[in-house]
Amino acid sequence: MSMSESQDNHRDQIDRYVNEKMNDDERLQFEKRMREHAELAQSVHTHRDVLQGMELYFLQQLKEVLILSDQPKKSGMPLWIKVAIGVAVVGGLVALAFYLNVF
Amino acid sequence: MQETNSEDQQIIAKIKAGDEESIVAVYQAHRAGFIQWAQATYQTDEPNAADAFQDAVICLHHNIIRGKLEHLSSSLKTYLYAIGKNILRKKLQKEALVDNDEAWMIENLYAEPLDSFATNDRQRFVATLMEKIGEPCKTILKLFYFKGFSMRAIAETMDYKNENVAKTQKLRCLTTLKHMLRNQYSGEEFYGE
Repeated sequence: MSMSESQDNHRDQIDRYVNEKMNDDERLQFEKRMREHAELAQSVHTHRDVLQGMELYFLQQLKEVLILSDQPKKSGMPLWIKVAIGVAVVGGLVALAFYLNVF
Repeated sequence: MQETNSEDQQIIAKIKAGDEESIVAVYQAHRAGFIQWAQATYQTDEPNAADAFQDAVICLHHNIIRGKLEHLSSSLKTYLYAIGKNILRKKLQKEALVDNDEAWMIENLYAEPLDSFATNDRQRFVATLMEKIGEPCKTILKLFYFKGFSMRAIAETMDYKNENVAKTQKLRCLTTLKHMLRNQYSGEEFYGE
């Protein structure tokens, strides 16, 4: 096994342990290694903190999405169209008033 | 107990596949009913009930993605109400508004308010780092760890050449996060890898 493959395997084991993907035998063996190697135990703690912190962030984002979905939907009409309609209506009324006064 | 239906199973499958619209649809479908029930049962106010229900939907998502919920033994509504009830009771117990005399548990049920999800300051700090880490890290990490995408699916979504490129990029992002965490907690003994 190359150095790179060995590192991949090491990371993969930590990831599977933290995500509870190991079977009982593998988990017991891994925990024994953690007790014997403080550095491995620290790597596991760090990995767990990073994954848990990441998930907290994504869950907070999801909560914001849920809260936003409670807000009443705004009209899909763009603002510039609303303004244009407003101007046209006012202009029409002014023109009508002018027409009535003049004639 | 109500019978489960295939529609509920389809919803679970969609959420497991990373479909965010489905989780919002579930939330909107049951929100009003839960709030009404919670207000009548616990005399709580609407914001409190709504907050508990939002956390319940988040726990539902967590349970599905983590593989703790694959097949329902009740309807999705019953499952969601059970989580929501447990969360609401925990919130009210904190405020000493109900006694801790009842548990309504479903096997493998994770039902915690969002604010108790992180168990230490380092985890809360990592959550703040996610705003700083930028793209493509945020998306890759979300797809892999939050939506359960495979490396191949991530490579396709992110338009990478192959899954090895995606895997390398994900590793870089994780390492960056670990370094940022180490810099913050440099006074403590730290092993990143």
